[in-house]
Amino acid sequence: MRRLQLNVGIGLTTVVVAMALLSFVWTPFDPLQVVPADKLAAPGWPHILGADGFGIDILSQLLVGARSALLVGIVSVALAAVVGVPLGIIAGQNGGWLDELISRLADIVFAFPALLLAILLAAVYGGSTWTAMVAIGVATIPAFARTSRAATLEVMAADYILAARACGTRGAKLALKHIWPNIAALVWIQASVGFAMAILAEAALAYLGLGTPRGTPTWGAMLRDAQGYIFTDPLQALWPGLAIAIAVLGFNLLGDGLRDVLDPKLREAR
Amino acid sequence: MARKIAQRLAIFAVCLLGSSLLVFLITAALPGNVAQVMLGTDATPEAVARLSAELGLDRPWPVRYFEWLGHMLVGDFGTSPLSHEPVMGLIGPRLAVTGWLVGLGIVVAILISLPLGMFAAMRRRHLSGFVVNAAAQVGMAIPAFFGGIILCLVFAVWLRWLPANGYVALTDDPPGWAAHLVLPVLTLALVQSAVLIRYVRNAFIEVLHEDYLRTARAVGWTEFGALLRHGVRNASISLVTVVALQLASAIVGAIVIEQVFNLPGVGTLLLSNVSTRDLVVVQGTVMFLVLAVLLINALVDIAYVLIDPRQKSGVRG
Amino acid sequence: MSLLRVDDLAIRFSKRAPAVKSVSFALDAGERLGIIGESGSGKSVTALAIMGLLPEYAVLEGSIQVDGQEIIGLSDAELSKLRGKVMTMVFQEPMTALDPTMRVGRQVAEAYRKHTTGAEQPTARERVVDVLGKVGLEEPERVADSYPHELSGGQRQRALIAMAVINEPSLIIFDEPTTALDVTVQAQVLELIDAVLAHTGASCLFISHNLAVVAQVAKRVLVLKDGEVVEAGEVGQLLSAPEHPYTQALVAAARRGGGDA
Repeated sequence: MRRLQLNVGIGLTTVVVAMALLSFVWTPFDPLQVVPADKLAAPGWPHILGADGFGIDILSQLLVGARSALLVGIVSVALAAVVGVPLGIIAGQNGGWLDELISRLADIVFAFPALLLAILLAAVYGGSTWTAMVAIGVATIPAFARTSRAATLEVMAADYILAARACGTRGAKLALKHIWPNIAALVWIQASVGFAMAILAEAALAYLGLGTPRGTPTWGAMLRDAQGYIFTDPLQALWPGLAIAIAVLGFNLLGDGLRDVLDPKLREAR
Repeated sequence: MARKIAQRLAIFAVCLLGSSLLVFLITAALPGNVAQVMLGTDATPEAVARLSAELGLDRPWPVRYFEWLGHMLVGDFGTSPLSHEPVMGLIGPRLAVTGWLVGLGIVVAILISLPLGMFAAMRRRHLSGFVVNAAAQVGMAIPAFFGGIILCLVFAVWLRWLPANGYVALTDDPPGWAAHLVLPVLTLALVQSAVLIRYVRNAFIEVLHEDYLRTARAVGWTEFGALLRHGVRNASISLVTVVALQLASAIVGAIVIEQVFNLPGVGTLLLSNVSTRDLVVVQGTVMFLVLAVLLINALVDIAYVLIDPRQKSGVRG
Repeated sequence: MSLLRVDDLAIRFSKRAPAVKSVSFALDAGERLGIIGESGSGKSVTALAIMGLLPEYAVLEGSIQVDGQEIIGLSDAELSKLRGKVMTMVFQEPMTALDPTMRVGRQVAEAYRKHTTGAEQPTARERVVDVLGKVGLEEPERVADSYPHELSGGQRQRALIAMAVINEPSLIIFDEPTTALDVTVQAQVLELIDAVLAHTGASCLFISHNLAVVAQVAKRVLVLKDGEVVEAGEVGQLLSAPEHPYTQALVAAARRGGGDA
């Protein structure tokens, strides 16, 4: 029971990753090929999940769509972690005005929702995968900075850090050798939860037409198109919606499951 | 207490300054000519030059930034160079739509998540508590637009109880207004309550371990009665901050939900001006929404200082 | 008939070893019984079992009768009618036992309202101030209007005792009521407990790890070790001639002045 969350999380994320990997070597149809004769084909054979309003195979689009979701997730979370974690460690390690400055900057960016940032970038540069990744990534920096700052503060009070500092270890060496290994688990948990948020945000942007442009299938854009057929063909909306929900649920459960396993303090409360 | 409030207001001012600078830099000072972006690549050089002059783009950006900021402080969020309408004039009539959506959405979300979260906390060792928790977990994974489409499918397409989209003003047709708002509000509320339930549950589990709850039971309250009397007020102190965060996220979430149900709100205004590349309106509207988010956070923090008796006298514990 | 009768009580928490193995005792109306033992001896768990306040995953065997009524197996709603009215409990930690967000007077008044009919409710405030004064709180009006953090530990414990006695229950359980207090305050609170019991005629179960403290309130003492009663008798007799080696150690500790009483 305790590991249920973790196991379901691992299972669902594996499905999503497998979909993306499979799409590189095989899809039932060309995910971009318009076949007017197959327009709105019902689920069955050869279109297992049917075809959309352009006659494009839905399963093929779903498989390729997993790539976009994972790509945006990986790049934006990596961006957020690479910037946020060092800032958080620096703030926690040094305290004082540096901590104050970094914390206030995090507050400012935190007050700035990813979606608004993405809309702003899309207005200036035109919506693209890049604007989506940058907006989501930047908006996620505060989460990483805060998590690592809090964890660093806790670690800094531990005896082994005091011992290391007594031996003259400080600065970047202290951060890399002693702090990072002790907060890495929390950063991974944050990454998993951040990944889920990124996939959700990417889907919303694609749905609004502000993310990855047409020509690359995305789950969000599929849902947008499907909404037009809601009165006649509601199944169209089901598949991409389910795909998003499975991916987000998977990464959320993975994060929660990891937290339960790695953080004994929180385990008590459950 | 006054010191804490002043401190919070200072943070609000700093955040406002920082985020306005961010908005300004992205739209106005990054490489590339704003006038060119607004008019498109096929605009004549003369037209671009005229718009540049109109927007005062020839002056250095810090000057333009402080001018923009100064105007906003007196309520002037700019005037569209394309439609020649002031941004506040555009936001005004649409604000009611977004305001109703967000306000009612949060209220319904609290009405859903408070009892369910409490239930999940009390029955955390039972299957029923687990089911509520699991449902919240699944709900968090469902994007707002997908949830909206499903609700639309069930209540508008299959049952035909409610209109699928559109909006009528409250003053024109109150029942129609309500009917058009039910699905969007419910969508927003369900998305928000999925997140809230987990916070409510954790807050109440914490309260359940408190000594004062045991005291209340020792003098005759049932566990549920003690939780209602003492749990709700103590948990709500920690939940106030969470609700504020959710309110901020609801303002942004409303942008998406307005699209799903084709509501003429602030989000729709923003997105239609993104597609026409009217950067002045985009800039002004984004800043307006950011201001709303920051203001809510500041007000809630101040309310927090006021409701917790321990904060008033500066004593903790 | 005894007011409280515990027969062969055993308590287990899920799969762990039993917290209480076999405890039996009886308490007559107006009688004061001390239960003594170190932490983990099962004394607090026994008290919580009598109050019906153990978590629902606790497994209880045996019998607990209060005023002739079996407690084990009662629902939370049924128990809540007895708690506060027939029996009540004062806990160790006065700092956390009051709701920090509610004025003290209202918390005491709610305990009163819980067991009174509508007609008496308008007089709740008078009654609260009266009882707060009776437990030795100076300026009871001001105390009633205070939040818990504005009071000292001793004042809070007095307020908690007021909450316990306001409905005049027949049985009051004190679980280490003075352990968290300063030494000088301890003596005052013990005097108060003694006076309150004398005044109301309530029976009392007084739990402590310190024999010297128990001796000030109770005549008869039960010594608990590892969930079992190892010795029982009059306080004087235990102090002068303890039989069980464990009791002898407790007596020796009490003789040394108890130190941490």
